[in-house]
Amino acid sequence: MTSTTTSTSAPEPARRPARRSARDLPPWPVALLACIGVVLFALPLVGLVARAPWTGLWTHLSSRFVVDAAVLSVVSSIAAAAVAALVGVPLAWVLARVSFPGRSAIRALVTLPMVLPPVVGGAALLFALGRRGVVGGPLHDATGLLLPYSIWGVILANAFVATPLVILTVEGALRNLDRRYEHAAATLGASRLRVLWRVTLPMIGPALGVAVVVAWARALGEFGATVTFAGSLGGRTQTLPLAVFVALESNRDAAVAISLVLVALSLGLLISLRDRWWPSR
Amino acid sequence: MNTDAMSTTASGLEADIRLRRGEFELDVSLSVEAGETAALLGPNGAGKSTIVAAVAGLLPLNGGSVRLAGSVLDDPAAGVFVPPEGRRIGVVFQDQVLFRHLNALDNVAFGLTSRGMRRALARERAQDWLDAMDLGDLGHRRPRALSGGQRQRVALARALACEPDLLVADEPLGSLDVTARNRLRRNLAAHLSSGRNGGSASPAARRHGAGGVPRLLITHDPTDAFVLADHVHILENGRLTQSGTPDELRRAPATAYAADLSGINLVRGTARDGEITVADDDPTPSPTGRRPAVVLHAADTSMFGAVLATIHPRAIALHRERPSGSPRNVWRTTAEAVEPLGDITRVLLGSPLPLTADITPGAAHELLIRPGTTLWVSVKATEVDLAPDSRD
Amino acid sequence: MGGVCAATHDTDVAQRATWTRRCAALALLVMTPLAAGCAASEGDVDGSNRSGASVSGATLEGSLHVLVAASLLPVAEVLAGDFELLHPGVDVQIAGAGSSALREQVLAGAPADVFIPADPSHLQTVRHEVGISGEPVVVARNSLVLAVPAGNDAGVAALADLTRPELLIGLCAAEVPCGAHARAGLSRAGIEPVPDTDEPNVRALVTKLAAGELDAAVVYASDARTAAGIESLGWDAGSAPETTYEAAVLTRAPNTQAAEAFVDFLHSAAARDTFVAHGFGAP
Repeated sequence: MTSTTTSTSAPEPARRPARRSARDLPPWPVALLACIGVVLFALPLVGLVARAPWTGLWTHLSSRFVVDAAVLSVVSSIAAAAVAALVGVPLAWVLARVSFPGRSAIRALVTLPMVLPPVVGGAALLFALGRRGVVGGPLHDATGLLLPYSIWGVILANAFVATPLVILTVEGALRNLDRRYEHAAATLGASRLRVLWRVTLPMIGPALGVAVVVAWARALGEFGATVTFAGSLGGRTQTLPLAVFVALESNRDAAVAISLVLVALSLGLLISLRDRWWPSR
Repeated sequence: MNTDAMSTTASGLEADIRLRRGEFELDVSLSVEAGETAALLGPNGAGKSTIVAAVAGLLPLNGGSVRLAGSVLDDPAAGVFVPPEGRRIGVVFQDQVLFRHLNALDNVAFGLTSRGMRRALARERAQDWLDAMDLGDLGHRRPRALSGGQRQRVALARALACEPDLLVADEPLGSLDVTARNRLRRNLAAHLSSGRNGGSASPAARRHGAGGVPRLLITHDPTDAFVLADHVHILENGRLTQSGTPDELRRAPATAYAADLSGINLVRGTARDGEITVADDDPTPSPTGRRPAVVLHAADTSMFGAVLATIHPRAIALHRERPSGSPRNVWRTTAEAVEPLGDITRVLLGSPLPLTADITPGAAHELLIRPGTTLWVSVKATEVDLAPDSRD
Repeated sequence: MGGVCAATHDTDVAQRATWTRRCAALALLVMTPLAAGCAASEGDVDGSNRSGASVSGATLEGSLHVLVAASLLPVAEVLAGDFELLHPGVDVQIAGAGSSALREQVLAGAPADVFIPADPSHLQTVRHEVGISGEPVVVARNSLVLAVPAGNDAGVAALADLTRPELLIGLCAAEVPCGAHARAGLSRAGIEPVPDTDEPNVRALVTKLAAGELDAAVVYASDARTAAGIESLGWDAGSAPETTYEAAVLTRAPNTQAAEAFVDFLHSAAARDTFVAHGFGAP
């Protein structure tokens, strides 16, 4: 188990004989701490699996409120990931490519949701876009539009916490991309938009893919901002994490069952990512 | 600015480049006529790549102007700047810079579709170009599955496919190993010289008229410059220190750097198993009738046919007595001229093989070399570099 | 702020009492065992039995861990301060959270002396699995009320307005006590509410209501009394749903003496006044 987490010598396996040289093995303090790390992450999972109501699992998962929450979660998290990509990629491009005064302040601002407690983020959204919010108030008065208590509120709250992940990942990828590819495309007659679409984005494709999937996973697990901004109503705004939280109060088996689904979903996704996108070199 | 005079033909490049990048200042005027290949030769950091960027429109000028084919591309004083995508300049970048997410065919077709050609037609054209580069069946490969030489040919095809008004090649042979270098140099020469000498040009190059455009070759390798270019401009620290034909530069180098690289000896001949029979360039018959053929020995035994042997002037050792030991190439000659060039003393050697040798002033003094002094020459076989001769 | 504590036998950290309490609350929320690290205690040389409450004559000392329902947290902080004035040797640490979360902590072995959930049903599991010393004591009652944001812009007048779809209505989720009691009470009155959100706890509900993001909600009378920006409209349909807070001393309480004294204190007349002042009903 530990060897998978510590082996970093992938580039030269072809040259190496089958037997591992001593350099491949971690020094013992590294191995020990890595072990502790694995245990730290594996234990809660073990706890969850141990508590799982295996016999009644299907009954729990097929209950109305779980299905409703699952559908809402999938729809809203995908939408949030799309919003995160749509907003995050251009923002990352500007941050990576345009030099302007206050750029670091803007970068700090847009990555703030990563460090802000989600509940605070949700409250801030409420104060800004709620019915009595700075922007939401006039908007509601003029159009009757109300973001909280609707799936739009869920998507917005999810996107709020997920977008910084896209921005940081994509900005890093853009900074690492050799500008000469874009220069070459320009000398070949490609307009700036075509360069972005046909060269820049495809070339940072792997990073972009990781960014969107991680943003999606973050949105799927979002709790604090969602419940604070959008509330929690079965079938309308109650996502899987909210359902877990409420179910913990009354029906622990159901809560554990839902949690297992979330864990399985995320784990499967992250494992598939490892093979697909994360450079194995 | 005297560009109004239009000293060159309307289809050439006229560049008067003034650029500041931090501490570095670039001030270079050069012109390349249609059908001509100009080499910009200079050490690392001289500003070569900055010139590429300025000509291609990747860096706007601070002063001066760039004109190509009669139209102004950049003139800050007049407020004119044509962005790179609006210029018809084919650039072969250093390290190729092929799009790694596209296969070879789509790399070549990229410029065509960018300029509005239908995808299917662009692919057809791109295939023609790959065929011309002997890459016809490698179109489906991604760049990483191609060899260095193949990548370079794809890059050349990509730059030429758009039928540019100017071809700029930035260190086109820089990242290749010796064998690939030699093969590609021949290939490049064929494409660069197709206007002047249609015989060796590829069909696609002929059809698309690549030979008629001005060509700018950026390099730090004097061999590339002297072999491939009609005119050589020497760039040092942001300034052109000398311009002229390769022969002119070799005859009268103006700076130490120019002297150093212009002393490079280029010898044409025919190679066979590491023996190079030197061609007799001299049209005047020798007094004794047919001159004896000179044979050079090279360590590289892989080349056959017409070659260009390169011998660095510092690799030539001079002696008063016949040297003992291992050098494969030893002959007797006379010193024709002795020129002190600062740190070195340049000795021009006479028949049977007119070469330039650079020795230290101390050695020159010790050997008592004067014009007419009889000397023994020795050159190690490993110091004779061979390249395919593509001039004919 | 209380005096600086001197380190004694069980722990070695000297902390200000308030800080300690906050730290413990936080730690309990995150990871219960850590709370032990924040504990501090104080030996009081001065005789401490100055109160008129029914406290035994022995000198009380050490730290006391009290787990209270979230709705009790504000009043519990005040009462803990009062208790510490009476017993300077005791350092009361209050941790507040949802009752079921607290129950899980107790079952998982959290170092607690006193447990006061919002619904006595939570005590049953604890009694069976962990053990309770003596009988639980009712220390306060709370009733549910219809509440509106200050100003009542939507013109909500009665519980029946909870059925108006054009209003933004909030309730507690049915799974938590305030939600269960509210629904039971409304159901008795024949009212079918149409909530726009079922908040997972009453604090979240109060926050939204106070921010004006809801037109009406059913919350505890204590919240309606103490939270800023909220007005109570009472309960206009029969008897208001009620919940009782029962305090229990855990069998394995590390500081049984202080725990029992604290529960007795909560039952005292002085504590009752404090409860009432915070909107609670007397036991």
